[in-house]
Amino acid sequence: MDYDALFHRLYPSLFRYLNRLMGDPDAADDIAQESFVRLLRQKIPEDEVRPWLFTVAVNLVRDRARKSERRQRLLVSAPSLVSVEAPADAQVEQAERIAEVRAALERIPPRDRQLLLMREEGFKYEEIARVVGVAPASVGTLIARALKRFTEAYSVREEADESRS
Amino acid sequence: MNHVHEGVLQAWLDGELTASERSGVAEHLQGCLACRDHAAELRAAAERLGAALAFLDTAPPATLAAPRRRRSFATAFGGGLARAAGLALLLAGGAAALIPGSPVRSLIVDAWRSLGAPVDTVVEAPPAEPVQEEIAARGGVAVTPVDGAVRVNLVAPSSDVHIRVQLVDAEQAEVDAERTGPAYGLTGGRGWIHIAGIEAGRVTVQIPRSVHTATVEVDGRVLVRKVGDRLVPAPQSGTGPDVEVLPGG
Repeated sequence: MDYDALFHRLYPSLFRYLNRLMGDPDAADDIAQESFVRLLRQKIPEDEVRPWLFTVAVNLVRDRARKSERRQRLLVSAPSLVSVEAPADAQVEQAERIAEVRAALERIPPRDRQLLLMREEGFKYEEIARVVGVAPASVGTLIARALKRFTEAYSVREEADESRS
Repeated sequence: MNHVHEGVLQAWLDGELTASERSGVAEHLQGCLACRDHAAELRAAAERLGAALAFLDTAPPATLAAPRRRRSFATAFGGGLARAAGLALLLAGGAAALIPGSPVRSLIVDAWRSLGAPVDTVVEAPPAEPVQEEIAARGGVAVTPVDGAVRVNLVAPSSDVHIRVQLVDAEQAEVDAERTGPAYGLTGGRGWIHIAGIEAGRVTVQIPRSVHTATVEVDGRVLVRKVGDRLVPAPQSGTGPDVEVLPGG
């Protein structure tokens, strides 16, 4: 197995998936790279590497989320002292857009998020089923429902924005 | 009329059906407006999702340069010697390390003396200008300042050697590997780099000069620390892989 080639082929997709899932490029990078470190210790058939990497990465995201909950509680009593300059309008608009998408993603169940994001990365249904832990025959139905939920969540957000403006 | 199940429609849109299933769905859609509308809704939802997700995308942090494979360094001084030598490492702190009498040079000289080696070959004479090309190394090890960066060259003759570079206060570093094994991989995050699966050959780690504190580890064992302009070789201990500090001159 050419690990170097695998890294270059799979890292961008894994990073994008994790960044979309977490909304934190640094954390996404950390977890993507940690997943590859773990791959080094395994002997995985090459055609199974991609779903294996995504499974490991999702588990690492869960671990980090648990730690993050504890850390956030500690940070409540230590507010940031860093002053922030006012961003430009375009940056504000971009940030709002990102916040809308993130909010919509967070309104749908975690499994729906995972299904939709894996589908976006071009996974086959069988691979999605393995990573998410559902029957392959149910993936189409689950994705269709997840798409509806996301559309509703995103629309609610957009409508709220429109009514404010 | 029985409509096509939503999951089957989605699978049809995602190209997950067999040829016969696809033709069955296509035939049904020709005569069923409701299913056509349903399929169009699903397609629109997927397109909307894709467009929305694109807002979230950013380029990966440029933590690591892509590794480059070049000619085998081991052949330049013999693979047997490379394996016998164990892991060789030399660090120097850029221009400061190259100036005779500098504290950095002294540290390296002291470290080299502790190995019972002659000290007049520790580093090359300093170049008058920043060099673009690496100083030719003997023994596979060299340290050069390149465009404001410290270049560290390592020889890792064992395929199971893992090298870790800890950067405390910098965002970026670069690694070049000449010869790597099938399990070779570069990984990293904020302030750290992990290099695995190196065969006989030279690995170049470029640490930005702006990095105040850096730690180079092999298999979890600290070899040298950079603190400001000082390079502090760690005392040799009986643990970890066979590591030797070699001159670059």
